Amino acid sequence: MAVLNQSVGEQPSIEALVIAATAGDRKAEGAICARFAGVVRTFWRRRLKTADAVDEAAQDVFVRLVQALRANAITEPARVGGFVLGICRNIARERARIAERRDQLWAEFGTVLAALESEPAAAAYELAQLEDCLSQMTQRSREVIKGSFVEGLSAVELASRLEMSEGNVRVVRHRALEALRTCMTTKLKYEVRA
Amino acid sequence: MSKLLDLDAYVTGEMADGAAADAFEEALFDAPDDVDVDVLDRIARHGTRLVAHGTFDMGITHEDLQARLDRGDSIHVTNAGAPNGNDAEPRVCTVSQSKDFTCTVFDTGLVGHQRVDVEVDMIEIGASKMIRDAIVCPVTGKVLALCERSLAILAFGGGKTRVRAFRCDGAKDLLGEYFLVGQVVP
Repeated sequence: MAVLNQSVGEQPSIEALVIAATAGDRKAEGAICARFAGVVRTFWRRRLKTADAVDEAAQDVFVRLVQALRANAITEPARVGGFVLGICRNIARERARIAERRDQLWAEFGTVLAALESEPAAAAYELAQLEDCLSQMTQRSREVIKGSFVEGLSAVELASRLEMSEGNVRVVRHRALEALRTCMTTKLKYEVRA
Repeated sequence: MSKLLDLDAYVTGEMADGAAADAFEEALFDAPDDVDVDVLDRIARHGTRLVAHGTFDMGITHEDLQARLDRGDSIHVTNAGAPNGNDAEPRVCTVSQSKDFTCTVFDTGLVGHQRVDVEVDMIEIGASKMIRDAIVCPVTGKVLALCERSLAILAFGGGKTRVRAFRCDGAKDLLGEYFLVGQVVP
């Protein structure tokens, strides 16, 4: 199973994927969506609170992206990032209208978007890795990470819940994130043979 | 400030809307393969699953385990028994490939302790790790380590393992020691 920081370098460029997708390569469509999945979810996490709402909004973005690819609407493949961001911003303004057509669009494009789900083995590894990394943190750090990124609570709300100062919540959150980043970009200790 | 902390400020809304946030957003979409984006995305996505599974925090109570079993969660329970740190041969604990979770029950007799640190020393691999602030069941004094199947299989595959529980209130007193070996069963 690939370690995070080893898995990115071997991929084709996004520009090449866009060119392939506009030429009709359906796998390339899914690969483009997968490559943008993280930033698109990040965009929505800033605006929405629950994980389900974030996933739903991200799916709306990818439906539109695949529509655009099939319509050859992306004229500058090298600037596809800006194009995807534009979709996100448009949907942020139009969410009520898109919701009405969502089921119909999902039925039409859902097969391609199945690529957004990690391969089962990779997902299981990532889950194990996060659990292992969290286990090495203090309970206070876990509570701050859970409140901030799973429950969508602000530093003010967490400070009240955990009886900490708002500033201390931020310090704990920053340190916990840095620790998780270090842990999640290295192999699990169980895999490192002496 | 690292990219990760900028992302933290962006996602939590501490980076105010405006030109700086717009520029940050544009940079994000120009480089979607960013490692920090992936890390934060996985923390949020998989963290949500771990919370739902009861595996985000380290350990559960007997009451919680029973509730999960009663509602049909796929949990393999393996009993590590009382501390056996002086045994010449390791005690076998099992993990099931057909269950979603493994719960290893350590009968540490630690009524009165809320949490303990648990050091896991994987003798054959030559690696060790510390599980911080594991929950002690307040009723039974046992440590019930609920774990995702994928992690349990990796951990139990490490061969002979010493597991030691320590006080986590600063004293670091040894409270119990185990000598175990994992066995993966169907």
